[in-house]
Parts: sequence; structure tokens; C-alpha cells
Amino acid sequence: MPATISYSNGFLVVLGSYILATVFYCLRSIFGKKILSAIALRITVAALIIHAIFLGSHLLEQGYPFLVSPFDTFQLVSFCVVFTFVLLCFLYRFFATGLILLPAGLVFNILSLTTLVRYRAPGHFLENPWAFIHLVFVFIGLAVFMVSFVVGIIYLIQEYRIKHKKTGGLFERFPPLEILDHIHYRSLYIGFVFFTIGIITGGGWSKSMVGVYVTGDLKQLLSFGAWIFFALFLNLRVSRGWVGRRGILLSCIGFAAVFFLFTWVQRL
Amino acid sequence: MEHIVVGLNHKTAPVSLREKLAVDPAKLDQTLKALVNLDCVDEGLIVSTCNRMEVYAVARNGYHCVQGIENFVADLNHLGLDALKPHLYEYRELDAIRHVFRVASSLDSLVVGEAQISGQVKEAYRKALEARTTGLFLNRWMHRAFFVAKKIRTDTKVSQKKVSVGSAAVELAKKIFGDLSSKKVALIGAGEVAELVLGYLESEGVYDVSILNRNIEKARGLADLGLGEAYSLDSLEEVLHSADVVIASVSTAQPILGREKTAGLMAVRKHRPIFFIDLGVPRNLDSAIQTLSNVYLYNIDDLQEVVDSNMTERLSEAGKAEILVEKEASQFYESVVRQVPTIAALGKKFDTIRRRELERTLGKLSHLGEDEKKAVERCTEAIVDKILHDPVLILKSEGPLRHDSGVHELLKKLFRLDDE
Repeated sequence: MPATISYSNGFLVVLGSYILATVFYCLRSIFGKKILSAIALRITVAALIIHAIFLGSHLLEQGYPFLVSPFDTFQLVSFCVVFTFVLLCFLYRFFATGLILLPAGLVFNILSLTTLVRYRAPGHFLENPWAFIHLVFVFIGLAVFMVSFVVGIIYLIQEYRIKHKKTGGLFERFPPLEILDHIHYRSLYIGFVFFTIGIITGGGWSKSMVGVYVTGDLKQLLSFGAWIFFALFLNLRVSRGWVGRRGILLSCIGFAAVFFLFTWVQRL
Repeated sequence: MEHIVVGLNHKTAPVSLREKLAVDPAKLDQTLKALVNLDCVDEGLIVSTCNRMEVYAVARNGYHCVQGIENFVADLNHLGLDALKPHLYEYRELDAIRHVFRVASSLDSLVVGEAQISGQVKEAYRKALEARTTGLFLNRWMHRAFFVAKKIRTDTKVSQKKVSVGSAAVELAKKIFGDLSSKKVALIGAGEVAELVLGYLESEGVYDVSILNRNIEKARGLADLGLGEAYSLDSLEEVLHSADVVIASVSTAQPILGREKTAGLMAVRKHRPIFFIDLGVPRNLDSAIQTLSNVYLYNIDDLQEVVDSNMTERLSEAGKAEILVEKEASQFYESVVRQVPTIAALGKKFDTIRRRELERTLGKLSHLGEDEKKAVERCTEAIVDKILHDPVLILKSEGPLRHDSGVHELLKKLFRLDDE
């Protein structure tokens, strides 16, 4: 029964835990005590595990077709954002991003529980298994791109501050530029891989539904355009000197443009 | 007799002004002599570092002398006093003594507790000794300052954490690159500051260092310490093709790197970020290069920013050090500025009386031989010494009388010491 959204208490517990963790990250930034971020990370990890369990059981309970409602998609994106953040924490001791990534995860989580965004994908489209695979890859790709975008924004702010000789404050505790740059591009590459798979599986879906891989509708053209942009960008960035601030600025603008275009196309 | 400080530092004057006032080491001797040739200045010393330019003087007439020294400083680089005046500070008597103690103890430094300044003040004192522009009062003042600096280093934790302009620079590099151990560093100039920076880099695990110097032998000397390779300054561009951090601290009148040259370098580097730290005064690098993408440039003033963020934990220790300085300064002021003149004037008065009476008496005893005359003279000397022995000892020794300005005033009145 996909039409009725199960506002199960479990998802509220997850949301509450993410909020609590965010509060601890805020306290960590204010007081600078390491123990606070350690507590926040533990809360986040525990909440993420619970989130995975609830998301899994929700999927099993609902069965096909999945991802037909904003609840499903926003929950998945929220999960992916928090998961990527936890991964970053363990790889780079990157607690400070918690202040931005965790709230980003929260926004999607809250969106899923409200009726602010309403759509209802036609059921017969999603009964096709290609649809599920396609959407999962696209949304994971979106979450990873989102992380890349957020880290890029932090880089740009941090870079501006170093260049203009401003120190102190919250950004004092953020990682060095080189690490931010590294995380930005690594997540951009990973996001690109998911995005590519998403496009291919999208073609498969199209083929099985209407018999052709490419229908030429606006969304498909836009996806190809975005794919070519990032493909060119990732290949040319070193040889063209798009490194450091310039490269990150370009990729962030690219991401924001693609994001808004997709949102616009979705409304047509 | 008055202790005077006139000068400017990183807090009151920008680097563009300080670099104009930096005294050429080759001309220091001549400048010092010109200083003590001023009418009112008896003893003088000049501290000229990248962060400060100060004149320490012992003078006969405090007020007019401050003006004389201000004019002297302004004339050093033909700057008008009107333009310079807003940046100058002047301290007299206790304030001057306290200021020098604070400078020598590194409490007035860009990075509080850094070790360089103490050595720089010692060097300035050594130069003044060589130029014979110091005397009894300045010697005592400086020796006491070094004593206080040492005491603060050992009794407080203000210098325990190795922080200086150099280490602040290294910290900035870490903000851009994170781990420095895999980074290539170019060190331009092999001066004292450069050597210190090298030490900080070593502690960060840096092993790939290119050392550039006009004098390649100097660069080799540093390279022989086990860090990096030596280059002459001519290979600057070649080295910068691969360096990540560039620390410049060479004495030069013209910038060694301009915007166009750097833009060309960045293209060759494929725009990989590069961090320039300009420790030189006058500045080694054209400030326009920081407008280039992925180029970060900090000069010695900019380091203040980084320093501030590190400062908080040092401040409590600096507070203890300030209390120590205050105590030492007022003790010194009392003992030297008040006690020495009183004792000296007392001795002079007694000696004048002795000489006068001796002359009159010996005039009447013309039948005495040379030996007898000398015996009488020695006898009068001994009497005066014995009379003064106890009072001087009490005034000099640690006790309530030593710091009681009333006692000094009373002595002056009782013996009419001011009339002398």
C-alpha cells in the first residue's frame, strides 16, 4: 500500500537522534571539547543503524513498487547523506562537517515526514524492476554529490578566509584545504559513478517501457548534458588548471545548476 | 638622569613604515654614534628588528630629549616627524624600564614568549658596546633586562611552547596543506629567522627542502645540517616549479618575485596551490601576487592573525610574567634610578668636603714630607669610607629602606645633595 505513508514511530526516533547529534556537534564547536563530538558521532552511528533497520523493514513491508512517494525518496537520500558523513568521519576525522552535513540529512528527513513536497509516481512505471535500480542509483548519486557540494562550499569559505587572512571562529576547526579538496573530488568521482550507472539503468528502464533507450525528453537530455559536463570537468580539470578554488567553484556551480534544472523539469 | 625609550613596533606601525626605518647593520655603528652625539643623550642603544625599531637612551633632560630622539629617528630615513609621530611611542623612567624588560622577555612580541627577540636585543646591546655608546646606567639597565628575561623563561611557561613568527608560519602552511611531511619547501635566505623556520619544519617531518641563497656557501652550510639541497638564488624559478611552501627572508631592496613571473610559474605548476611566507623586511615578494588564484601570501604582519588564535592559552602565563616584570621594573627603578644617584651624590659630597679640608690643612703643614702627606690623605679617605660604609650598605641591601623613597629624599635634604 504505497499511498499511505507509514509515520512509524521508528522514523521519529531516528529524526530525534539526528537532531540530538546535531546539537552535540554545535556544542562541540562552541566549547571545543572533543568528548562532545565523540558522543555526537556515537549517537549518529546508532541512529544510522536504526535508520537502516527501519528503512529495510519499510521496504520489505511496502514491497514493489518502492520510491513512489516523497517519503521513500527523501528517507533514502537522508540515509545516504548521513552514511557518507559517517564514512568521512572515520576516514578523515572530519567531525566539523557534521555541523553542515547532518543538518542537510535532517532537512531531507523532515521533508519526508511532512507533506510539503507531494508527488505520486504512476504505479505502473515503477512496477518495472529497472525503475527501482535506476532510482536507487540516482538518489545515492544525488546524496554523494550533495556531500561533495557541501564540502566544496566549506572549501570555498575556508579558502576565502585563508586568502583574506581571517582566522578564528567556527572555521578554525575545519580541516586543511588539501583534505577538503581531496574529499570534494573523491566524492565527486564516486557520485559520478553512481550517476553514470543511474543513466544507464534509466536507459534500460526506458527500453523496457517504451522500446527505445533514448526518448529525447527534456529530463533525459538534461541528464546527458549534466553527465557530459561532469565527465569533461573531471577529465580536464588538471590539464586546464581548474584546481583549487577555481575547480571547486566550477563544480559547485555545475551541481547547483543541474539540481535546480532537474527540480524545474520535475515540475513541468 | 632619565631612562627613555622612543620607537615603533608591529602594533603601532605597518610593515611599509617599519621597513623604511630598519637600520642597515653596516651603518649601525655610525648611527649609534650619531645618537649619543645628540646634546642630551649620554648613553644609547638601537634595537632594529623586523617587528620593531626602538632607541633606548639614558639622558640628562628627559622631556627635551624625547623630542630630540624623535627627530633623530625621523631623520634616519628622511621621513617627516609629522608623518612618523602617530606611530611613535615614548616611555620615560619607570615606563621605559618596564618596556625594555617586556621587550627582552618577549612579552611585547608579535608572538608572546618567542625566543628570537631576547637574542636580538642582546645583539643590539653587543653592537652598542662595540660602538662604545653604553655606560654605567645603560649597562645596568640591559643586564637587568636579560636577567628578568631569563627568570621569566624559567619561572613561567610563557616560552615553553615553541611559538615564534616562524612557527606561526608553519602552522599556516598546515592549514592549507595539512600534513607537511610530504611537501616540498623552499627556503629563500639563510639568516637567523630562516634557520629557526627550518627547525620548525623539521619537527613537522619535512625532509624535502631547497635552500636558496645569494651566497651559495651559506646555503650549503644550512644544507650540511642534513636538510635539503642548496641552490643559488638564480635557480629560484626552477625550484618554485615544484615547491609547495616558500619561505622568504632575505634582505633585499626590490621584491624578488613579481606578479607576472608568478603567474607564469603557476601555469607551469598547473595551478597547484603554493604558499608564500614573506618574513623579510623590506618585503621580499610583491604583494600583488596574492591576487593570483591558488597563491597564498602572508607577510610578517599577516602572521599576527594566526598568532592571535594561538595566543589564548599563553595569556594566563603571560599574565604571571607581567606581574614579575612589574615587580622587577619597580625594584630596578627604585634601586638604580633613586638609590644610585643618592649614594653617588652622598659619596661626592663627602669627598668634596674631605678634599677641601685636606687641602687647607696640608697648606698649613708645609713641613710634612711627601710620604706623610700621603698618609694623612689616606687617613681622611679611610674616615670618609668608614662613615659612609654602613649607610651605603643599608641603602644597597634588600630591606625596607632600599625602596623607601622618603629616605632618599631625607638624605638629599639633610646633606643638601641637590645643591651639588
